[in-house]
Amino acid sequence: MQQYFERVDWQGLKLPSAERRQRDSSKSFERSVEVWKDWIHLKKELVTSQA
Amino acid sequence: MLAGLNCTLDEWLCDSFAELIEEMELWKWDDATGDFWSRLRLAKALQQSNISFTWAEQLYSRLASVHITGKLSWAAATRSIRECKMRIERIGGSRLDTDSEVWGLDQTTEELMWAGEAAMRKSIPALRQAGYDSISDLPRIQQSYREKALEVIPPAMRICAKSNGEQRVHVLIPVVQGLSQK
Repeated sequence: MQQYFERVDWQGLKLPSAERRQRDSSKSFERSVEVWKDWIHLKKELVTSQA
Repeated sequence: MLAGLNCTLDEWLCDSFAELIEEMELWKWDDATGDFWSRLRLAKALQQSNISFTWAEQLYSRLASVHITGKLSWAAATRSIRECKMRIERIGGSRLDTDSEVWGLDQTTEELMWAGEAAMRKSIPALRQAGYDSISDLPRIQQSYREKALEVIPPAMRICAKSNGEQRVHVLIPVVQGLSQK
């Protein structure tokens, strides 16, 4: 495992593009139909548990 | 439901929902359907990265308690290695029949993609048990820019083309109970 971690791209992780990529993936995710369906389901569940 | 999120994050070595979203790139859609949280893939944790969320913000109070602020997850740190492995596997390659030179990898590095990942997944529960919740908690050595004998990771394993792949940081795996030294 020590050797495995020595292949981690620490330089790449420090680049701002890594954060931008994360932001882009979340936005495209939010727009998907599947997520909307789950979101509606989750909202109902939260309302029920709060009541 | 939040307990389910915790389990999903643990299983996939992620510290937050934001990490889980990133992790999705390595999954096929079918892999993600069995679990509500992995299927949902909505990330409140991104708020911690100053990312403006729209409807997902409404979940903040429910998800905030399971985030670890400012730390790099095991999954995020090793994702570029696992992405390289995924690319090999998606074109039908495997540990046994892949010509490492085609990918610009040496034999040891290629074998590590499989063996190292397996070792990591096996070892992380012991590390967590010992208080090392993320890779950011491990002791590390920073190499000075004056040192010339730097290791450079192969381009196929780098996060992006802008990375020069120079290894100036070395994390050290501590000796903890239940962790094999192999």
